Amino acid sequence: MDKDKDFDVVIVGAGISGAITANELAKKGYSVLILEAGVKKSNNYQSYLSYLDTYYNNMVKIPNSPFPNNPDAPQPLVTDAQQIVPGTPDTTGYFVQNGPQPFQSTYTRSKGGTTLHWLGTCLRMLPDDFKEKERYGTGLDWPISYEELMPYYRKAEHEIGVSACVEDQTFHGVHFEKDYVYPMKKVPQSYLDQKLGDWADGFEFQYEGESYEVDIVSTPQGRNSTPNPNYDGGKGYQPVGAVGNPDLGQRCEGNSACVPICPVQAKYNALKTLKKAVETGQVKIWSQCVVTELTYDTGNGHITGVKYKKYKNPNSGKHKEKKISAKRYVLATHAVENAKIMLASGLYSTSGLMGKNLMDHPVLLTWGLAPEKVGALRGPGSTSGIPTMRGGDFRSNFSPFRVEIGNWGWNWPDGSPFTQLNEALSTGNMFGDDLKQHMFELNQRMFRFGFLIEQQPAETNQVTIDPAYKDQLGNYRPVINYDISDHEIKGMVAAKEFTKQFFQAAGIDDQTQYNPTAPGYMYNDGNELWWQGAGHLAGTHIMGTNAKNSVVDKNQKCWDYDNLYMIGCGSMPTVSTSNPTLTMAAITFMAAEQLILDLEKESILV
Amino acid sequence: MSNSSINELGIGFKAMSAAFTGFNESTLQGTGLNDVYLQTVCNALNQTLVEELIALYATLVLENPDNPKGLKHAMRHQIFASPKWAPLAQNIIQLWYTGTWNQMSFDWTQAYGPFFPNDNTAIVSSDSYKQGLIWKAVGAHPMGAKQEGFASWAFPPPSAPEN
Repeated sequence: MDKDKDFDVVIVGAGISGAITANELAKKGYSVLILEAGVKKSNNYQSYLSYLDTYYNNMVKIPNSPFPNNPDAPQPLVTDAQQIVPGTPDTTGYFVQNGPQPFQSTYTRSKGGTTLHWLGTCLRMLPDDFKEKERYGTGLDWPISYEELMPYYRKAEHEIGVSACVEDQTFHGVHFEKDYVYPMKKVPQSYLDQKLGDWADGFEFQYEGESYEVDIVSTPQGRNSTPNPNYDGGKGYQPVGAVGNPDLGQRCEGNSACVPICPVQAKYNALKTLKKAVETGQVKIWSQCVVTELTYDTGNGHITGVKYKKYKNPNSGKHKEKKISAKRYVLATHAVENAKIMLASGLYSTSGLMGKNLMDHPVLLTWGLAPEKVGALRGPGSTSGIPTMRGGDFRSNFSPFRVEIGNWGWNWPDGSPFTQLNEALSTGNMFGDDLKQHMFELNQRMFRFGFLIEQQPAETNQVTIDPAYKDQLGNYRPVINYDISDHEIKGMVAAKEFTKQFFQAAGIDDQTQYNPTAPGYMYNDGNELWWQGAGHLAGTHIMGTNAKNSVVDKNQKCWDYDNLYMIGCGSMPTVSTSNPTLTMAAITFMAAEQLILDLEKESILV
Repeated sequence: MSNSSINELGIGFKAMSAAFTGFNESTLQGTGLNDVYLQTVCNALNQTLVEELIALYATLVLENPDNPKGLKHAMRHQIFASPKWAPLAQNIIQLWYTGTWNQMSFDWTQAYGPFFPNDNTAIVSSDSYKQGLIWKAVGAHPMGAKQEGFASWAFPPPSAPEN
C-alpha cells in the first residue's frame, strides 16, 4: 500500500476531462493515477489502427463500431434502443430502460473515452444560456457566467485545437476578448453549405407571429485546419497530429468518418492530452481497472479510497478486487457512470439530486433532395449550422434548437448509400450502367438537417441502480428513467415547420419519413416526430450555488465530500444548444485550477 | 479448385461483373479483388453454379454481337428476371458494391442447394470495404478511407461517376 500513497490524486476515467485534469496537475508536479475501465491499449499509432480495422469489418457502422464490446466494462449502443412497453423495463443493452421514452445516447468505455467517436463540434454556449431561468423562466441558472468562463474557453480551444472564425461566431451575444483568434482558421465550408447559403439567401423563418433571419454559419470544430498565424499574439499554433505518428493528421484530410473514427486523428481525441500528461512522468494510467465504489469516513465525510476490480481478460469475468488511496479523488467517467459509482457507494447528495437531471439533445432529423448535385458523403460530418433558433424570447415558450447541416447525405437517418443500393436492386430491378447512374444522381442530391433540441433539466430523468441488474464483473448496470417534455416537443414541432419553410424557399424535395415503430417516434397533435440521441449526455450531478440545489459547486467539487471532484458533462445544469464537450473542457480547466489550490493549501498546512 | 481454373474462370467472372455493376473491367481489375470475389462466391455456394452463370452470360454476349441494347434485354430476361439467377446476380453486385457477401434467402437455398454450409453474411475483408464500388458510383470515397484531401469537400462534386 505504500506505493499507492505516492499518488496525490486518483482520477477515475481516461477521457477528455480526466486527461485535462491529469495534465494540469502533472504540470504543477503532482503525481496522478488514472484508473481506466477499458482494455489496455498502447500509445502507438498501430494500436489505434486496430480500431480502424474493426470499423471496416463491422457490418453495422454505429458510433461504437470501432470499439469492441467489453463485457467487463460494457457500453451502451445506439442499436440497443427500442420503444418501451409501459411497465416492462427494456434490458436489451447495457442500460436498463424504464422509459417511458428510451434513452438513445451512448458513450465509449475505452482510453480516450467518447472523444474517440465524437464529431468535434466546439461551439461555445450563449451568454443567455448561463441564466436561462432568470431570463426565460425555464431550466436552471449556472453558478458561473459566460464572462467568467471566457478565459477557460480559450484554454479549452487551445487544448482541443479548435478551427473557427471569430466573426462567424459572434451571434446571440457571444463575444470574445479583443484581438482573440481561434488557434486555426475555420474548416472550409462544404459545397453543400455554400449551395444552401445561395438558395436560402434572404429567407426568414416565420413562426408564431415572429420573423427570424436565417444565416448559414461555419461551425467551430476540434479538427485540424490551417493554423492562424495571428494566434496567441502572433505566435501562431502548431496542430497536433496523430498520437504515435505526429506528422499524420496535421490537416483534416476528408475521410468522412469523424463519427465513429478519424483515421488520421486530425480530429482531436483525448489520447493527445493523455500522451502529454504521461510524458511529464507524473501520470500513470492503469487500464482494465473498473471502479466499483468509493469508501468514505462517516465521521468527517472524507473519501478514503477507491475500490476497483482489475481484470485480465475482458471475456472471462475473472478479476481481483483492489483499493487505492490518495489525497484527492476525481470522478471523470462521464455523466452516467459518475452518478452510478456514487450511488453504488451509498454517497448521496444533501440535495437529493445524485443521478437526477439526466439530459441529452434529442435530435430531430429531416432530409430531402436538393434541386441539383450537392456532393454528399464528402468531408467532415458537418461544417456549418444555422444558429438562428438557438436564442430568443421564444425560449420561454418552446425549446431552442441548433440546426446542424449534415454533409453525409442520408447516412444517419436512413443508412444511405447502402439503403438506396438495396432498393435499386430489390424493387428498382436495376443493374449495370443504369444502376450506377441512378445511385449517382440520387445520392449526389441528398442532404439532411439535424435539429439539436435543448432538453430541460428534469429530476424525473435519472440514473439509478438496482441490485437485480449487474454486469459480468458484478458491477451495477445503469437503470434509466427518461422522458421528453412538452417544451421539447414544441421545439421539435417548430423544427419541422422550419424544415417546411426552408425547403420551400430552397426548392428542396422533402423526403423525410418516420417509422412509427422506431425508438423516438412520436405522434403529437397531427405532427409526426422522430428524435434520436446526440451522444450529449449531461446532468446527473449538476453544479449550483449551494448544497441544497446542486451536487457540486462551480469548481465541480462535491458539496458533501470535500476531497472529491465529480467532473464532466454531468456537472452541467443545462445542456443549452451547443454540443457540450467544449464547455465541459472549459469547466474542467476551472476545476483543475481549484484542485491545485486545494493541494497547495494542504501542503502549507502540512 | 485449382489456381489455373480460378484464373480462367476469373476472366469470365470479371466480364460478367462489369456488365452487372456498370463499371468497366479495368476498374474491377484495379480493386485487386476479382479473384477473391470469385472465390468468395464459390466458397459460399459452389463452383458449378458460378460456372453456369458465367456460361449463361457468355452465351448472351455471343448471341448479341455489337448489340448492347439486345444484350441488356437478354440479360434482363435471362438473368435478372430468373428466379434462379436474379438473386445470385444481385448478390454479386452487392459483393462488388459493398465488399459484403449476403447470405442467400432460405427459399433460394432450398431450391438450388439445398444446403450451403459456408453461406454466411460477412464483410470479406477491410480491403473489400475500402474497394466497394458503391463509393465510386455515388461520386464519393469510402467513409474512413481513400480520403480526398483537405478542403476537397468545398469544391463542386464530379459531374459523373467513374467508368
